[in-house]
Amino acid sequence: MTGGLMKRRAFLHDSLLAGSAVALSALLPSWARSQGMTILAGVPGLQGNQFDLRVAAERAPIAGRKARHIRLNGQFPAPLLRWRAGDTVTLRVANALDEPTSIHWHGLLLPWHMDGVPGVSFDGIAPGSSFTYQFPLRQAGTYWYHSHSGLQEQLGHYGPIIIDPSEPEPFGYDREYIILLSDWSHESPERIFRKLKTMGQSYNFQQRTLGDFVHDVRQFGVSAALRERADWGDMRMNRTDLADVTAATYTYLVNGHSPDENWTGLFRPGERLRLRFINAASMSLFNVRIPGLPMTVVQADGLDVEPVETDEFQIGAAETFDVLVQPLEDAAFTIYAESNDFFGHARATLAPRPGMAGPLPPRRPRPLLSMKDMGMDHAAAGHGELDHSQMQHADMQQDVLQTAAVDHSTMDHSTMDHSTMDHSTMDHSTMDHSTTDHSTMDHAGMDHGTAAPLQAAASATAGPQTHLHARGPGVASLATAPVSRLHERPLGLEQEPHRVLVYADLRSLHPNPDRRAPGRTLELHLTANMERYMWSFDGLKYSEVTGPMPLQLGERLRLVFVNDTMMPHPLHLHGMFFEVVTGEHDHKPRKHTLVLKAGEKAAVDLTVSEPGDWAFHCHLLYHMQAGMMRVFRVGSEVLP
Amino acid sequence: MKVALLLGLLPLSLAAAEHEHDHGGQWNQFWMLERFEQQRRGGQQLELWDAQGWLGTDYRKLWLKSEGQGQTAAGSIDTAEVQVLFSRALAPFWDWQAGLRHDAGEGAARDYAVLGVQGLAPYWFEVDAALFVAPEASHLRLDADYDLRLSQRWILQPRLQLNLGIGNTGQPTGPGDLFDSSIALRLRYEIVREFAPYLGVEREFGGHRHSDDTRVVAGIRLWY
Repeated sequence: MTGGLMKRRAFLHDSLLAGSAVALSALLPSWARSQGMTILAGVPGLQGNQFDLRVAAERAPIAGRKARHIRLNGQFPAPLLRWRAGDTVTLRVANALDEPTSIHWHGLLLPWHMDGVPGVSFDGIAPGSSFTYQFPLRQAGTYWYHSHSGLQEQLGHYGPIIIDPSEPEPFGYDREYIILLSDWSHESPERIFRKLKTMGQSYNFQQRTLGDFVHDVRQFGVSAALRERADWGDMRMNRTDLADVTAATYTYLVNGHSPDENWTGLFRPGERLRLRFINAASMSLFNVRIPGLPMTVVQADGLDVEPVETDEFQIGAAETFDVLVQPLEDAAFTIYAESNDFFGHARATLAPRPGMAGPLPPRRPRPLLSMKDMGMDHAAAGHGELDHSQMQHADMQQDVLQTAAVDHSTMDHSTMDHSTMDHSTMDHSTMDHSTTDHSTMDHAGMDHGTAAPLQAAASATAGPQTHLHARGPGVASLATAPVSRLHERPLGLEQEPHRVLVYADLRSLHPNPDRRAPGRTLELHLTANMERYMWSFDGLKYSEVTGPMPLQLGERLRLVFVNDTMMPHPLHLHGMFFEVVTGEHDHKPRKHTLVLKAGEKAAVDLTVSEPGDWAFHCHLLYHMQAGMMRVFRVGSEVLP
Repeated sequence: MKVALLLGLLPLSLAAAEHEHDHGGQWNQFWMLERFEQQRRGGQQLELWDAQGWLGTDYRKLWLKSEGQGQTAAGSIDTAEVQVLFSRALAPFWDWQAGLRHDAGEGAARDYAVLGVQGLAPYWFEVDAALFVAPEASHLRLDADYDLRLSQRWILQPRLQLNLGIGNTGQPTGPGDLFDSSIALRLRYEIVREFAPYLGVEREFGGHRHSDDTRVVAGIRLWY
């Protein structure tokens, strides 16, 4: 644990280190190497349709220090798998670890028993044995693969996948690079998990201090400062709890390179580059920008979107974004991926020649959580917030929309009680949430206008929350007034003068394949007790549910997510793409992972087209490990 | 045939059980030496320890606590207590605990039944309140502390301990009497979160052991 991680290195120092990165890169797969003297048009990797992958633990340098981590075919990150749409691929995976392993093909449409989730799709791959995956490729785009066993993903068990389409793509480029973001710690993942379970705040070095309090007293007066502290202290919620695991232990990597090692991709001025961003981090969301270079997003989660130009976007764990950039000057540009708590960063460089480095942008002040992030009525101002973080109501127009769409007048916050409920008599074992019935909601009559339906769609039940789920020691708070935040910028970027991508900006390039209205609605709440580090859906950890949640093959389903926690969660559905309900239109972005903001209520529509058992979980590794996971069982039986 | 089928299914169900254990059913443990310090008063010197830890799941834990003091220079331990408690999650921030406490040391050895609650009160107060029942020695104890962050690593911790005699007690204290109570202020520096040296002052009151005195304390706090 070192505060020194955050010290910004001098420009000169960086350039010197770039030299040493070349020696280091001999150990890296070719796609992840800093481009040296040669300029490559594409990204090399393993190609074809037959692959042998060997999973083994090795001691090798990583983030500047020798460490035991997991390598596939001796490489970290794991080799790029470059496939062709329409092919059937066969992958023989041998396990040379001393524990079971697995590979999940993230974002791929495939038979469910090829999905690679131990205990759900298969038994896992025992030590010393192997497993053969085989599936046809029904899609194209940028994807990735990783272990779904225990905490192996944190140890380096991840790599990129590119599936080249059979048809030409609707955009052109001269050169492409994978930008695979990840987080590395020299602490063992088991140790990290235990620390989270017992002293959850120990990675937070951005806590509010007595000095902040004095500052607030000066600026807002004693009573306002005290009242604000009291409101949050009353809930036992920490406004600086932006990330569970931080740069206090993490080094953020680009293609396996630390910021000092400065991974570099070369270009000739004027060339169009395609950057395939993959967030393979275990616990980190990144805010990504390339100062001086506007980025045009052309794909999200592997699928085409209408090109949208932006200056910064947030990428949640497990998401992918393909962007085009066109550097015209003969200069170095920094790819800067700041962790969402603003406490650390990954960094890489695009340059016309090796050894160059662009400037690092100055660090931005860390934001504070607001009552809105708690899913509470932010419009009833005057409690819980001092407007000093300059983060509230950054976009007034959007805020007005938000407030208008949800009727706050009917909400009663005085009844929120986090502590006095008696849960001791609750029996979790007999509860069956899979049958919770939300099917009585009628979406057919919804207004199909422009902006407002965005909220209406997501907040079909706008008003006081009526969804019933288990409470108990695992549920420390409930969002009483969750709202759709799909059109809102990520926390802390509200005031940025430049463009920031929001989900509502994403529109599928192709019309959605299934335009039926959802036949039923299933609501799931994201629940937690951060003090005990318990994470769950509907108050039940995966270890507590009795079985999979049944879905009917062929049905059209609206999934409504309500985030009762105060953290963003990248929700990932295996085996199927859902449409994010950014409005009632036929170009909803189709994704496999959606970051649900704190205090948010949002909806996705799903055509239940793939039979079998499919995992659904928060892609923050330790949240999943703590229980934030479910399995959907897609069968052809008619559901009651 | 049926048996063979069942046996065949067994590995699968065991594997499934293991994976469920993986997603929320884990066992964890936590050990903390909260105070390990030397106290000075006048020319006298006293060593004190206060440790606790647990082993278990989110809902059920085996909790161990121990505290005591003595003069290691003189080779004597004045008081030493050990508690073995079963704990169960009661509410998001609270566990109830029940078990046994055994006292040893210079005084008479004594056993108590223990019933308590431990957790985090609103406004971030760590609270441990327990009822100790033993013939003629039943009492209530309240321990509360608060971490005031001066910086990301400097933390000032006020701490209060109250012992209150109840029921028909003889020695050492009558009903309603405070004894062996103290209020303290410790300033620690977290070199790493797991290890912090500290300095502080402690004042005892209501006691019969060391009456109304103020001590300077120096020690370390560590957890694993």
